[in-house]
Amino acid sequence: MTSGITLQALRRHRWAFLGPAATQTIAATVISAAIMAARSMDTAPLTKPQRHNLISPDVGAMNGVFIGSSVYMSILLVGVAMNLVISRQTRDIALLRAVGATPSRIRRSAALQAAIVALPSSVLGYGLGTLAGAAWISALRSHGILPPQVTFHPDLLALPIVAGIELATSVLGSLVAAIRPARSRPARALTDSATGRPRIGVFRTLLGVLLLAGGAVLAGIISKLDAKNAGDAAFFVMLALCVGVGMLGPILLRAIVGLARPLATALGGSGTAEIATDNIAVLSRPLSGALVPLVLAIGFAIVKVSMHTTAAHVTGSADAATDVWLDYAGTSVYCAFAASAALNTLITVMAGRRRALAVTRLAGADRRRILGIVGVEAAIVLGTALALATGVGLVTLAPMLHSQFHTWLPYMPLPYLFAGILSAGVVVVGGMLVPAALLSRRRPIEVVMAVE
Amino acid sequence: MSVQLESVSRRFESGRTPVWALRDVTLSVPPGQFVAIMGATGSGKSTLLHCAAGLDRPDRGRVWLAEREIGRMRERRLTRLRRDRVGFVFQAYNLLSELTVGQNVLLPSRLGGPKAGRTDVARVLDAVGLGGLERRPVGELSGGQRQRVAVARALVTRPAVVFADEPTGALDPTTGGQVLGLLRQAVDRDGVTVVMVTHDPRAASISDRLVLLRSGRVVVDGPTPPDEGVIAARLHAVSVGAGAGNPVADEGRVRRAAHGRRDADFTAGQVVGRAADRPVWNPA
Repeated sequence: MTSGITLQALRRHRWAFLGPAATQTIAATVISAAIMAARSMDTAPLTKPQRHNLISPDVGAMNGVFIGSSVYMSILLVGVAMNLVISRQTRDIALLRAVGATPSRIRRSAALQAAIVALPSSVLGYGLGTLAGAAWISALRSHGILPPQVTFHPDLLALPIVAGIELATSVLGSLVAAIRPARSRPARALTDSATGRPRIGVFRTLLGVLLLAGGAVLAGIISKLDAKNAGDAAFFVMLALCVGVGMLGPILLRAIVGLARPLATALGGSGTAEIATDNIAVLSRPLSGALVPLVLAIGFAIVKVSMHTTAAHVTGSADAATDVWLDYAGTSVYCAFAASAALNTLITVMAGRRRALAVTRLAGADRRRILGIVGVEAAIVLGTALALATGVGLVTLAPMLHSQFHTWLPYMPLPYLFAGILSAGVVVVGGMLVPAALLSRRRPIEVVMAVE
Repeated sequence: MSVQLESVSRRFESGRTPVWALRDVTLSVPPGQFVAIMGATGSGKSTLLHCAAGLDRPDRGRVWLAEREIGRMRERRLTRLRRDRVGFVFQAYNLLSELTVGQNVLLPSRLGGPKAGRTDVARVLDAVGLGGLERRPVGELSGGQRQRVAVARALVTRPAVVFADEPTGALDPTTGGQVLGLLRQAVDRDGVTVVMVTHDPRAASISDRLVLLRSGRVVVDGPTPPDEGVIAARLHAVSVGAGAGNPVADEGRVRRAAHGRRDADFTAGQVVGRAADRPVWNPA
């Protein structure tokens, strides 16, 4: 029976599972590539001095950091993506509860759906990981970071590790999302899902505040550590801040809507801006699922890039080219990973709005107007993400900058800044405006009659 | 004429065989008239409404809406014409349930339609008996209240024509009667033209003119009989005489062709269709 419910959910929401499946595949690719690259370096036939050389530019340490941070990022992003998919099933869950499904059956079904997504994604990601790992090793060799004796070897050991991580996070993310709809009385759940206006829980708010405060306190503590330890610990500051931002996302978005409304009205013409800001307030919870990876990607890039640019600015001499390359290469992998998760989440949110967009068109909006509304929404999401990421980046950077360069503020050259804003803009436009343009191609009356 | 159709035909592809949902329909509705369109399921009522309102385009024939021919009109201009001159009321309400009552009623105006402010919203909500509920989310309202919000949204821009597709289909008789009263009031007091598709003889009885469809053709067009029993009998006679094919099967084919529905929905449509074959009024 559980599998019957599960299969029905998988079939009915077929496209919604594409997002988490893609995120999990990319996560599995990154983790398995990192594990296999590290194993290939460990087992390479190297002489003692060669091995010593390999360790000294921190390649070994970097492997550890690389594996560790890809695991943490995966946990966060996979959990968020799966959470969003199950949240969209609230109405189905209420119906199932009404016809007699117990809360534990609902939870089992949610967990099973997550497992069904996680396993094939892990296997596919492992396959892609062998290709990515080989490319990574050869890139390191061609930059002279690794000696030619180090060659890439696929390693089956990575598969169970990856599958275990994916399974655990995917199931956890979906179970967290299923807690409330599985427990609530069916009648309540049905009216709630019809209302759709997200309520902001006290627990969620409290947790968010604690994480943000904890991150800031941790940043204060590590500013007194030496440079190396401060750098390693800073990653956890960042993770705490990003999860905190995700928890407080709905509140932050609504606050920003309040601030943005007069500005957006001045820029976009009143009606468009009013509708867009109303929509953002309604969508604040699912959109905050996209804010986590966006803030993570932008914040991570700010931290990594400004460490090097500030060093060059303060000391007057640039870091070693290979070090910079290594750092930027790793950063772009993380950023691409987080950006794809953000893209997936935004597309999932937009796909859920097909009917609402059609109703807006029936009320008199043409396609251009729909794109205008979604454009203002995208600008608000982008602005929010940039502002939050800057905050997260500055708090994360402060202790490292202070312990190394005795300054609290980073130095960021303008071209880097514009490139970063542009990349974030591409992700948000690709995740919101492009789907809106595709979704509004059919006649609105067809959409309204076919959905329901 | 507020609404005019000239030799309009509309075809849907269903597998290899085309299904004609409308065949050569000609209809003129003068301003300030209340027209009820009836017919068995699958007779083409909704397709007629969609073509007349510019929500769908006919394969043949010409359509005028508020004195403008809409056949060759670009989608953008057509949308503006709908926004500025036309109101809609659907069986499924088609409101944005996450937004408040006030936000829903203001939607056409915010989309650039005729200006409506808070006083207009308050006036029209008072008129439909929902005064003071501006800030209530639509998702918290009952079906009857939602349909009255939809009527308020349709009327707030003072349109020339209101199209209503089974406006009472989801409502109990009392609530349905209130919604119909609002439409009648719009015709009598403001001179609005109303084109309403309905299954319900009681709903049709408040109209000025009755149009009956069978298999996509107009078979009866004349003043509405004041007695709903007479309307029901005429509808029944027209439906039973459907002849050519089983109207229920036609319904499924038309719906599937029009909206790409799956077989499961087709089956569901059959069940509803069978129920609708029986007289829908109480003969006693």
